[in-house]
Amino acid sequence: MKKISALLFAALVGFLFIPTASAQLQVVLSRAPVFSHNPLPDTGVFGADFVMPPSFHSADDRPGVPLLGDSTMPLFAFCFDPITFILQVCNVQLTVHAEEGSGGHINHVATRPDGTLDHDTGLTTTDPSNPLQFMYTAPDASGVTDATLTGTDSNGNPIIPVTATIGVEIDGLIANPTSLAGGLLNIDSSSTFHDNNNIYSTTTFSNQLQFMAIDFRFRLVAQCIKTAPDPITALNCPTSVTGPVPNMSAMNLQAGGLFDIGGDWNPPHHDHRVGVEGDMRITNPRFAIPAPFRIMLHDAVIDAAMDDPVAGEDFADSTANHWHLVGLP
Amino acid sequence: MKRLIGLSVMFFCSFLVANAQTPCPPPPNQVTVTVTANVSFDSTSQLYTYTYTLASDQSSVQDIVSFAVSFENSINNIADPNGWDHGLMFTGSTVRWSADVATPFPPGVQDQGHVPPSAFPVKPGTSMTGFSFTSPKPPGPVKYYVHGYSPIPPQTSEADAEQFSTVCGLKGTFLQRGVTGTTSGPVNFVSVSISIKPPAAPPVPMNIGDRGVTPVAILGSSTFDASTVDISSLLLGPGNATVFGPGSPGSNGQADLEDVNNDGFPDLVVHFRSQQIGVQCTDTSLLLTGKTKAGTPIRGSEAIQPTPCQ
Repeated sequence: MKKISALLFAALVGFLFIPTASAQLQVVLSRAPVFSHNPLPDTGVFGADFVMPPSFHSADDRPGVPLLGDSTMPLFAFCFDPITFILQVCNVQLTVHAEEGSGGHINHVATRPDGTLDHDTGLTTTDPSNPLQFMYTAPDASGVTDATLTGTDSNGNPIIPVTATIGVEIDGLIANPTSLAGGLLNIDSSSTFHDNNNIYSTTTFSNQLQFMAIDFRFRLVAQCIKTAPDPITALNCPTSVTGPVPNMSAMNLQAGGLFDIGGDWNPPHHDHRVGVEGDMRITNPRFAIPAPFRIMLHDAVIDAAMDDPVAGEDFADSTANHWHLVGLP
Repeated sequence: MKRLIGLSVMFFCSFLVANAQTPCPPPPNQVTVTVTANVSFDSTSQLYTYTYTLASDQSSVQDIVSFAVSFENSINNIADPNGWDHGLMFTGSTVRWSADVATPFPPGVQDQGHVPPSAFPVKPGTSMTGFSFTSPKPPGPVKYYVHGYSPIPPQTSEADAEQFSTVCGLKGTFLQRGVTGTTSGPVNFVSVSISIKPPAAPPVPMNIGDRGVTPVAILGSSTFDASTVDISSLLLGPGNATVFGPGSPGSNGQADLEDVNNDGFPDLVVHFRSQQIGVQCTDTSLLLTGKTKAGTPIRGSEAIQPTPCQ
């Protein structure tokens, strides 16, 4: 009798404490290994849930650039009952996909890289201190990546999926207006490859550009005043802002990252990633800096604490030829 | 088979050519230069005029096309040699001159957007002066920067242009490349208290006809150790009088450490020939300048009453 009673009691207790699927389970992704059914979002350029810098893989490895190499972020997956918030074991899969319409040039639509995961499936745990972890490696290109978590509970029932957005971005870049330094510098970064969406830079680089433009004009006018009879410099001696005005073309995207004006998110541009680089037109007929004035412009670049500029691109195409400017890191 | 090998060799060679880097330009430090500073002081405007001369040694490989001097704010009346111009640097407190007037490209040279050579460089074996400015601040040790002409060859692609400066070590601002050294320029000074003819109270009577010596005490304090003064550097008054019989403190009675104002801190007492001080009836104070043994400029002044003056 005692044995029967004990068995009945055990059955009753077992019945009462068997977990029941009272509701469809949910999943959540978190940057921190701490369970919260509603993690606070980061803030950044794109208003994404999580923010991280892009990776930086360049043939031009630049000392002083802090982002060189892989940019990674752990993502922690939790599966829980939406009523009791008790953690459950679920079989989940994570996928990442670069959102269309974010991140840069015209070619963002189809080919912007997604980034990678170290693995994409796993079992969530009931131990909040030891959650399931994925490691996401950002692409070199900035933009919004959708991270979508799907799966099934222990009974094979589908769980409610969730999509978190990852803002792959360099924060803090500013949009430079089309005219700076009182008309002494023009920013015109539009081309047939893209909109004028690459006018961004750090505040310091913007200040350096303006300093350069003012210094160039100062040197130009001063030298012209002193050497007006000189046939070399008197030819186009400017008296106001009608003289040669430096013109910037490619700079940086709104959220930095790999700068590409081609169609496949590969170089021609290795750099222009962190907001401290820009191309200055030199021989383009519309924005030409005549050769007699180039020492002064070069000196203005140096005075502005930029690297020694390198001229380049395509000599046969005067519209493309430019100086590659690099500002303070 | 031979044809296959030949094609392979051709392919390999074309790869090498296509990826060949333009030779890197030499760093702009292939110059041996002497920088000489001439400093004068105008007692009326209380301004120092700094004038620099560059002398490029015959052994220099490059022409000098740029020269910069750091300073403590601020400077004015910046003057340039013929064919040169100046600018202040973004990073602050450095004035940079450069030979800005360009020569035309030689006939047949295609304009590839590069920088033409200068018409007025400092060539090896020659010198150039006329780099000058004024400043209210006294001379002290400052850094100078000299760059030789080292043209950067244009690159044929965007990627090459981006990589070239890294590969060839062109990164870094002007101040981090070229030749550097120390010259005289405007620096901040340590303000010191002085007592002319201690324990006389200011304004101290000064007889402009005095043919003797005038004692001056540089007062020590909790923040200034008077024993650190370089006695030989001291200059007093509009005549820039030097210390009479300079020597080690206490060695000859002309420079002694004693507490003239009884504040517990040793004061340095030195003597100047009164006539050398050059006091005029219009003077209302005397300025003492000098430096510490570590090279830090010092300045001090006290009110005077020249006599006999109407």
